[in-house]
Amino acid sequence: MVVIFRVLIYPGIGFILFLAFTYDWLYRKILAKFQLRIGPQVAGHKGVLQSLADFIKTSTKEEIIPDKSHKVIFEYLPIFSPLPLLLALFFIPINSEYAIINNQGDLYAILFLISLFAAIQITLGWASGNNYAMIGASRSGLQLVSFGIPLVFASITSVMLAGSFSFSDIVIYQRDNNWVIWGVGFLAFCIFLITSLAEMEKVPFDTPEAETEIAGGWTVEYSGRKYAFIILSELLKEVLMVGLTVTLFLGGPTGPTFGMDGIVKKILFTIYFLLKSSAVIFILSLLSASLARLKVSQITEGTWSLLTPISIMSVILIIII
Amino acid sequence: MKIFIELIKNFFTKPVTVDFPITSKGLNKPERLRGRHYLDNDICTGCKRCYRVCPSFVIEMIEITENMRHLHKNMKKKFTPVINLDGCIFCGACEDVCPTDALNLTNNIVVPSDNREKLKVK
Repeated sequence: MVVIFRVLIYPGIGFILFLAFTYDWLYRKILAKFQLRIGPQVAGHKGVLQSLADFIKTSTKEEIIPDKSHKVIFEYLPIFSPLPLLLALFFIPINSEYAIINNQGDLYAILFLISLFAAIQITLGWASGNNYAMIGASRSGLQLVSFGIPLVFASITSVMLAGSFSFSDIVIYQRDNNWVIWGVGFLAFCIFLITSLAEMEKVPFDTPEAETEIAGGWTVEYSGRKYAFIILSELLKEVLMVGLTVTLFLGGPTGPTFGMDGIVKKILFTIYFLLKSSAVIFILSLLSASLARLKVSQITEGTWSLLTPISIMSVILIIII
Repeated sequence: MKIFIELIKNFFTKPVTVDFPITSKGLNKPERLRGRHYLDNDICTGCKRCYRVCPSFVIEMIEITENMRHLHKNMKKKFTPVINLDGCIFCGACEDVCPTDALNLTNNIVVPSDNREKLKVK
């Protein structure tokens, strides 16, 4: 019974969906504040239900299937697209040092699931039978290849310091020692944030979706329920990348417990997780607001000639220290 | 680096966007802004000049019936204008041509409505 509650409600699917919609609202609201706008404000208190409203509204729209599309993939793959990310989120510790799923290869699993989602994106773009979608999908693939290596090297920093691939061990290491961000891990943290933005396809790395250039990229042909699921998977990806940043560099959900134990400790840990996540979202919004969309050539050049060497250097730095 | 400082400043500054139409507070309306019409039925003579001059043909003249008579003080008046705002381009020609200044364009720009009857100025 406890396991079912943990998987389905807290900190499982229900709580993750709550986080997905809330983080997106927070991201949009902070971005609006940076741009002197108001941001979402109509649905719910200060627009907190805006993302949920968008999801529901989109899912009620008409679905159009293009003639040139690959019918089976086009019809069914979007429905399964949030699953790898939902599964990946089960590895993130939210209310205690231990996540719903925890084993010795957490990071491997997460990186595999992120790559799997990228593969789904490319397949979705290809299955649309649209040139814009194909360009978007190829750009998505290019970003996966470009940002994959810095992402792995940045994550490896925490693994090397904690001496384990398990997120629980990394969180426990940071609880007992300093957070990874303080000290040698800071460089890796910066790299991880940049790669997170790229993974989330946010400005300045939104070339796969670039509305003004390729009309939405790989998502261009999807409408109605299918597009709603794609939106959901993007929101889940946001939670995953923010959760990963918190887990790997900011000590996960741990913090002062004031001698509390049991359910109070879990609630305290959840609050810490939310606060740390909010800080990460603030930084991500700041980066998004400060930069304009980069060209594909600039992204590739920047990652291969700048980000990848720096990430390797950061790993070497940790080995030396 | 300069942009980050600017953005952080923005974060703690009040938004430039006015929360319109929830509130009109902070809305910078120009002095001669042309918005919703105001028709003073007491001084309107029903001369049909506004009806003739309207370039969008959105003003119709309706005959004053006995039921409507109590709304109009001028007993000689036989017709009264009804302005359909849904097609109006707010050019102000009707206001200019009105001999008694009965028709005025106010600075109230909250015109849109989901009810067509509310888009009529009588």
